[in-house]
Amino acid sequence: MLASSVFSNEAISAVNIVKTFRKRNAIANLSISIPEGRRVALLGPNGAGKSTALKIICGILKPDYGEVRIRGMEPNSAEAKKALGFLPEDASPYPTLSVRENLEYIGAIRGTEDLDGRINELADILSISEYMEMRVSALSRGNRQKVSVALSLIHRPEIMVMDEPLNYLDIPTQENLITLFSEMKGTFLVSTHIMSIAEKLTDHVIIISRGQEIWSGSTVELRNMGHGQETIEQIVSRLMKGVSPSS
Amino acid sequence: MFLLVLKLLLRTRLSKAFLLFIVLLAFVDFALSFSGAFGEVPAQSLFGATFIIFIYMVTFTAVTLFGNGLGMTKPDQDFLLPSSIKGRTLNFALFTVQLISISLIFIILSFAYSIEVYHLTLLGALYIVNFLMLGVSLASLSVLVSDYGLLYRVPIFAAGSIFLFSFFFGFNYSPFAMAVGHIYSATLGTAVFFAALLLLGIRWLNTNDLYVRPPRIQIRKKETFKGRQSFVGLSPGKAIFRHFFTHFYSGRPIGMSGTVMAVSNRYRLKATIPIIVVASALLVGAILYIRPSSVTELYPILILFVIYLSFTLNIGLYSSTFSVERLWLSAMSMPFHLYVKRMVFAQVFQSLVLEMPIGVAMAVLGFIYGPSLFPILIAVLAISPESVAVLSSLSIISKPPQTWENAIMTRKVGLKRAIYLFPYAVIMLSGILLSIISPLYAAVEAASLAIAIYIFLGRKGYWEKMVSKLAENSYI
Repeated sequence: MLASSVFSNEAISAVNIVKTFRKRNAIANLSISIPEGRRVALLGPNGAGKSTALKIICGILKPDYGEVRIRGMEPNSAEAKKALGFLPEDASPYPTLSVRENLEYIGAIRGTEDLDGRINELADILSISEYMEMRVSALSRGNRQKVSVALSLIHRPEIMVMDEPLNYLDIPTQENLITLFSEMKGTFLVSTHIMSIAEKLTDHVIIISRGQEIWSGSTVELRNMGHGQETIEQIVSRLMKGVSPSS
Repeated sequence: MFLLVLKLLLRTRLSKAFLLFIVLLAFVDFALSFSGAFGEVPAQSLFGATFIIFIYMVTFTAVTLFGNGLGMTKPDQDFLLPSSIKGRTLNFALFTVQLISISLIFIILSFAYSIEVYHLTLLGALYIVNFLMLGVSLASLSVLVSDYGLLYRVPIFAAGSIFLFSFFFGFNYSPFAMAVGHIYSATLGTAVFFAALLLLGIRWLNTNDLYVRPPRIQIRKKETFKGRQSFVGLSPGKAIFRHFFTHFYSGRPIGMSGTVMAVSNRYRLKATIPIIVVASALLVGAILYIRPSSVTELYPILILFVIYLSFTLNIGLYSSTFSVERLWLSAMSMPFHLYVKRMVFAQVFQSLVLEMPIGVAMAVLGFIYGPSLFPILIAVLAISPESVAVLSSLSIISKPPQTWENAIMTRKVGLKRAIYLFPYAVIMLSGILLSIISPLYAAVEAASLAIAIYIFLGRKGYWEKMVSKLAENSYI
């Protein structure tokens, strides 16, 4: 058992996480530490273990080994749940409920204050007001993603964990969301494999491959690692391939 | 025009299967009509009965494959039956359960016939199988028309109810009633055929290339719908109760109860209860109309009716609750075990409400037939899907929260395995009841038990893999 002092002043702490699926290591001894207020992108190639890491951090999956804490608390505790907002990849709200019912339902079980006001506020920001009485099953994939974003924000979370949040969204909505996230105060952990999105949403980067951290630092530091005209995507690609930054 | 339609029908694997299904349906109807052409009961001829059983088995397999199996193996490009991978996995499990279970019923009934006893049992079973077959085929059709929503499911459900009536009337050895049943089946088959043609035609008109996924036709995309619920101002517990008490969750509608779920999901519980009440009243009414001379004659009706319900309602209720349930929402809203406890609590009450009409129906029968019927009524209630659902739910609630949480989180998911075990358990229980009637049934029961043990112990890895996939999908 780790002492709680290890996790002090950290919004998210994951220490020596291991997760195995059918003898395949999805996460291999991964440690992540994110202080309050920091915005971090989790980068990695397909199958690197990004989504698994996020699910473990949020308490949806349990690690085989290691410890996770959200502000020093168990991720499945009521206090951690209150602070966390999680947007999974390909999130799917209840299809037989309308958009408003989905928001009301999740808002109610999260104990959101001024629920009606919050629903209208999110509907305006995400441009879903005209779909509020429609069933989720009748929505396009993009609009469903907007509803999912709204569901993850309904309780005004202070720690946001998002897996590919801009998937399926058109460019204007992407820009709206980037603005929304930029204006929000709190801690962000965003999984993506697109560097431009990472740069817009965050200021720090953790690169993982095969379930292990291979580099972490600020986006500025990442840029400074480039040789000559090397773009940031090329730098990230080089790191993901396991080529030493100094080579 | 005919050639064009034929070409259209033969363009995809699914269409071919559907065409095969229609042909087989027509064949079965013809066989039934031929056997009963002179007002005789089809089962009174050994050849006729064997022939019908064979045709039914082929048809059932084809229909099930069409409805469920193909959903698993089709490529994503096959737009006619859009389904997600989790749907396919579930379908495969359902297909296996249905196929093996029905095969077992056939084995039991074949034994019954071979000793030339319980003609009534065989005849009743034939009609029930006919009913099952139509139920599954209609469910398959409802899958096909799922893009078109409830508009087509309601008449299909109504048709199914009428068929139920014709089944019970036919049970009374009335050639006229049987003829009505056959005409009804043939009419329904024809209607299904043309409905399918119409739907395929509509799809074809929406695209010039059948191999390109066309835009979905937005018939059901209404701005508003009935039964809107409000969760504002509710405590978390009350919100969860309201949500799960008033909803079924079904990955894919299967049979009549699948239709009930579809109605429920659209109109919520207030529309579902009358359907259950009407179905129970039909059951009681039909039995009263038949007026069986002894309690023994009631056995096949009640037992097979319960088996049918078990296949459909319970699988739909439980497997889908945890596979379609959006776990990320629940898991993120509050401690997971708390959410599951509240959800199951709501479903216990839902099950009790749905159980009530069936319980009343049973009480009516018990009142009419006296104490001699009580043992069978108790047995039927004991193995009815709702009772088992209630009991299993209560057993979940009574366990410590960590058991549940750990099972789900670590994907050991023992409960999901139990879900698949349930239909087999019902068959075994039914077999035990049948064993009371005849020692021969006991032998069949032993064989079915051996098969079940082989499946669940001998091929443990296979089922665990299936269950594990379902669990994975439940995390989206």
